This record gives sequence, C-alpha cells and structure tokens, in this order.
Amino acid sequence: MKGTVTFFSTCLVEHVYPDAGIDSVALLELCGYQVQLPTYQSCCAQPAYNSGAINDAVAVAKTTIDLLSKNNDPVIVPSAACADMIINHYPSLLSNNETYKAKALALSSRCFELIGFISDDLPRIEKQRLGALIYEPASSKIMLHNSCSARRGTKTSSSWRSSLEKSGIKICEPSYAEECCGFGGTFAVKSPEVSSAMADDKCKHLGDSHNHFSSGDCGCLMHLNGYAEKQGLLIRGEHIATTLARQYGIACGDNHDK
Amino acid sequence: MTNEFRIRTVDALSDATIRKNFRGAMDFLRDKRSSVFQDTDLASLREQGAAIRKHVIDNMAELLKELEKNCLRNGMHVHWAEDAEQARAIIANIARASDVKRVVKGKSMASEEIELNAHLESLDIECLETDMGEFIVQLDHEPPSHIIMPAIHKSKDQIAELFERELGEDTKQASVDDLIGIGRKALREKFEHADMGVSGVNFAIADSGALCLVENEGNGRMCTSVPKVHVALMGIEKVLPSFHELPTLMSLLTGSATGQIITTYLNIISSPQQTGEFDGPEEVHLVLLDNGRSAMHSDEIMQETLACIRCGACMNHCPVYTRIGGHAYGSTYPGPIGQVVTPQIESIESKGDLLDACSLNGACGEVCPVNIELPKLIRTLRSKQIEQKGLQRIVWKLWRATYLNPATHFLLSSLLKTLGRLPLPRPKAWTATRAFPKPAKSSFSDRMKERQNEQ
Repeated sequence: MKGTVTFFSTCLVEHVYPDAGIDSVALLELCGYQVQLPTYQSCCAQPAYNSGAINDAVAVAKTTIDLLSKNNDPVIVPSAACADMIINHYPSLLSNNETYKAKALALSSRCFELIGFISDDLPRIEKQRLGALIYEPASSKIMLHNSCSARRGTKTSSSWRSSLEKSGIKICEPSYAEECCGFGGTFAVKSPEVSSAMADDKCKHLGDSHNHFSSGDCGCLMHLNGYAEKQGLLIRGEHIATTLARQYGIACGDNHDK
Repeated sequence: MTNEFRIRTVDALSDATIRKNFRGAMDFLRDKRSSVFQDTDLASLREQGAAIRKHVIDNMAELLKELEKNCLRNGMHVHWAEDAEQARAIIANIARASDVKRVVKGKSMASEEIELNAHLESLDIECLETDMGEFIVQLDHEPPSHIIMPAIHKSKDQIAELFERELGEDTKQASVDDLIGIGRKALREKFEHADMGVSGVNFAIADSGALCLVENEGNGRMCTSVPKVHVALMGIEKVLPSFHELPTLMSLLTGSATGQIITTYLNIISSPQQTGEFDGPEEVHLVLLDNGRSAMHSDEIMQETLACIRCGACMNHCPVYTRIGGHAYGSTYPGPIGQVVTPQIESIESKGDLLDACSLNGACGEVCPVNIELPKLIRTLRSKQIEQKGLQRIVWKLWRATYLNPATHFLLSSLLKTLGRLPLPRPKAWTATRAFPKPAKSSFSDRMKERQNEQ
C-alpha cells in the first residue's frame, strides 16, 4: 500500500458518470492506493465562480475546503476542470479570508487531477503481454480529447498521453486539438449557438478516423456526447479512467452511451 | 445575450463565407506566430514584456508628465482628451486652424474608438484611410473586423468585386498583387493633396519625447511626413519609459500580431520639421486619450487591461472570434481584449453581454505577449455584471443553498435519479442542439457502497 487518498468525485461523476468514478477508484487501487470517500461531497463551485457569482462560489468552496481538509491525504479529482478549480483558483478566490486562504493553499498543494496523479504509478503493459489481457482490439487505438482545463489548468495533458500509451493504446489527436469543445459551463446555455458550432467542429475533428474518443473532463464529455446524440452523429466519448481500466482488465462494465 | 448581439452572432455563424474566411485567416496567423517564436525563449520574453508593462501601469502619471514635457521640448504640441468627444473636438480644432480640407490616416484603433472619420466628415473634411485593409473597409462603408487586419473578413474575390464597383477598375483577372497595386494607385494621388495626416501611436517614449509607429506599407510614413500637419492619437497606456524597453515589446508585438520578426517600417517621430530639413510636417500634435483608461487604472484588478499592446493574438486564438468574426461584437475592439475593454470604456449595462460569449478556455491568456490574464479579467467583469442581473443572482443563491446543506443536497440527489428520468421540460438553450444528460440509475456514492459490501 502506498497510502490513503481522498477521492473527490465531482457532481458529474456522482450523478451522470458513476462508472467513470468506479473505474477511477479501481485504477487508484491498482496503483496501490487505498481510496476513501468523504460523505456529503459538495460542488467545487466552478460554475458560480466562472459566472461571476463570487459570494456564492466562496460559500460553497469553503464547504468543500472543510470537507477535504479533515486529513492531509492527497485529494484526487477525476475531472480536470474541477481539479483546476481547486488547485489553481481556490487560493485567489479565498484570498480575502486569512483562515481559508491558508487552508486553500494547503489543499491546492495536495490536490491532483486523477491521471496526473497515477500516470507514473500505472504499470506499463508490454506489447508481448497484450495477448494475455482481455481487451477489445478495436479500443487499442483511440482519439484523445485534451480538455482546456487539462492543457492550460492542471497541465496534465502529457500524463493523459503517457498513461494511455503505457496501457498499450495508440493515441490519435484530432486537428485543432488545442481548441475548446464549446462547453464552458454556463457559456453553453448563454451562447448556445456559438457553443454548438464549436461542438460541431470538435465532433467532426474527433470523428475523423474513429467513432470513439477518450477524455478526462466530464464537462466536455457531457457536452460532446449530448451534441453527437442529438445530431445523430456516431462519435461518442468515454472517460479516460474507463479507457485505461478496460486496458488493465479492471473496468466495471462496458459503459458506452450510458 | 441581448437580442442584438445574439442576432449578429447567429447571422455570422450561418454565413459560410465569414466562417471560411476567418477560419482560414486565423489558422494562417496562428501558424505564422508559432513559427516566428520557434527559436525564442518566449516564456522569458513574455515575462520581460509583462514586467515592463506593469512598471508603466505603476508609474503611469509620472511617465505621462515626462512624455508631455519632452514632447513639448521637441517642439510638438500636446493635448489631453478626457473622452472621445474631447478628442474629436481637439482634432477638429487643429484641422480648422490650418484650414484642412483633406486628411490622410494611418491605421489607428484609437481613432476608430472615438469615431473620428464620421466627425471630420460631418465638418466637410475628407478623411481617407491609407492602410490597405482600412482603405478596403472604408470603401465598403464597414468598420474593421480585426484590430490588425481590418479587412480580414473579406476574400480576394470580394475585394476584386469591391474595387471594380467603387474604383471603376477591371479586376476580373486581378491577382492579389494587382489588387494592391490598384489600391495603391488610388491612394498615391490622395497623399499629394492632403493637408493633414492622422496616425496612431504604438509606443511613446517618455524620456525622449518620441513616438513609435510600426507598419508594413509605408503609408504610415507618408501620413506622418507629407502633410504639413501631423496629429498622433494615442491611448494614455501606450507610454514607455525609454528606448531601452522598445526592443522587447517590438519583438513581442510584431511576432504576436503578424508573425514577423520586424515590420517593414518602424517610424520614430521626435519633432516637426527642423531648420535645414527638407521634409516632415510643420506641426506635430500628440493627443493623449483617456476615454475610460483612468477608471481602469483605479481598479486594482482591471488595471491589467492597460498592459495590452494591441497585437490581436488573443482574437487570433479565440475559438469564439474564429467562428463569429469581428463585426458580430459590434464594438471597436472585438475578441477577448474587446470583451474586456468595451464594457469598461462604454458601460457594463450597455456592453456587458459581450462577456457571455466566452467559454473561459484560456487560449487567449496562453498567447498574450504581456501575460494579461484575460480569463481572469472576463470573470471579474462578470462578477460586476451579475450585480445587475436579478434572476441570475437568485439562481446562484438557490444553487448555493442546495450545496451548502448536506440534507438538501442529499434530498435533491435522490430526487434527481427519479426526476431526471421523467419527461419534464428541459432548458431549451441546451436541448435545442444537445441531448440532456441522463442521471445514472444509481449514483456513484451508492455504487461505491455496494462495491464495499461486495468486497
């Protein structure tokens, strides 16, 4: 055992993508960590923060800080946007409150985006051993959607790549990989036309050669899968934890389209 | 979004030519930028640039006084304009004093900001844009759609058609070079007869009283040297302490804007024509424009806006700008910097809706040559804007109440599983183009409990 970690599941994993959460926990366990879940998890407060509702964001962020400060274990977040919020934005959001600023800084230093945290610990699947594992040959090549939060916030996009490669997957990157998928939280409903135009382009680029892609940001997944479903496009995304767990033979189920 | 902005956005999105022209142009500019900085330690260059701009912001009043003193010493006239109206009046008075009938203009976004052309024309003064891009949009009675490339929304064919219609030239077989030749010929004739030249200023050097102007076409040099009166209009933030700071910012500006190591022309204007000199204007006037900049300066967070050197890289890399183009914003400055500047120089009430058109993806901040945290500034303006949005404030209060109380949160979570699967009305803004996410049959926490029981 490497030690205990606290798993902050995030709203979307809790309610929409529980499989991704279970697969994340399985990966953490595979890497030798014992996973603990704090009860009554709240929101990271990013939606309010990005919308300018600062006071409301501060109130909810404080709850989450308290929840995640009961011990000094690493806090693991399975969605880059929420991890980015806790790591990079909590300290400035709470800069007016000395007590919480200190707590936020401490939390920031021990909070990690899931894949960034485990990428070094994940075992490398050697090519010759691939035959012994149960996995779908079709999934050995996958499009990777690097979210803006992973690229520019948690800066763990390279870990996403290296982890997938370690697990025996060949990664394809879409053209315009660095461009936003159009989610942006409330942006998607405040500027739905622009947001949809961006989703349309992203689905086209992601669907260029494959019908499924992998990403570590639940917001992007919800947006792009929702767009593809409504528009009748074949492309679907899954959480990177699920892609990886399947490679290691520990996925909780084939959860496409769930 | 207000209807107006949203209508323009939807129109732009459905215009295939606009989509194609902008996508192509932005791809080109992004590639040019990344190749010019390939062998540069860009991170440290940007840090140097940011430090210089921060120094300027921290010492702005002193630097401006020094600039004024040294420009006066060099024989220039210096004017202070608190707002657009004052700036227009100052320039109109200069024109009147010299009985000016024809003005030639170099590219200046500050002059767009104060709507100078329309004002001078209302006084029967002909006002001709001489930057090729500005010339093209003026000919088509349009505002610029980009702060560096004013006619970037137009294709070659559209420009050929415009020149044929407005200049009476046969452009059917014209190449890009031919078209530029046609434009230049039309402009040449005008330069000779102009009484006054108007230009912008890229950087003003406080300790020397000199004005720097970058350009690629030579029109800027013509505007500032041929007519007998030269008026330079600059936003007060464009001041620099000395020439020592210029190379850093020049490299950042030209590399970020057009992917050039250096522009074709760098004009340094330090005085009117001196005794014994053969050319140059008899009078040089510097108009220092505030127009909301002092107010930005007084806000500890928003003063970072003043670090901007107007390179346009933020819009070139913005996925929203790339899709809707500059005109949709309906403001002098489009794209991320426009979303930050416009509500501040006009008002949050009238222009705050521009803030909605941002996904906070961070591409702009990633390329800003002087490290302006544009997403942070947009977020900060949203926090000022929400004060005026009653309904949104209520929504966030409810959200807060839900998440603050574990009991409500728990109750809502369990309700979500059932309610989320019922055919209830959904927010149309989401469902018009996207399927609504289905809540899972059992939540992650429930699944984890089951999992622990199994183990």
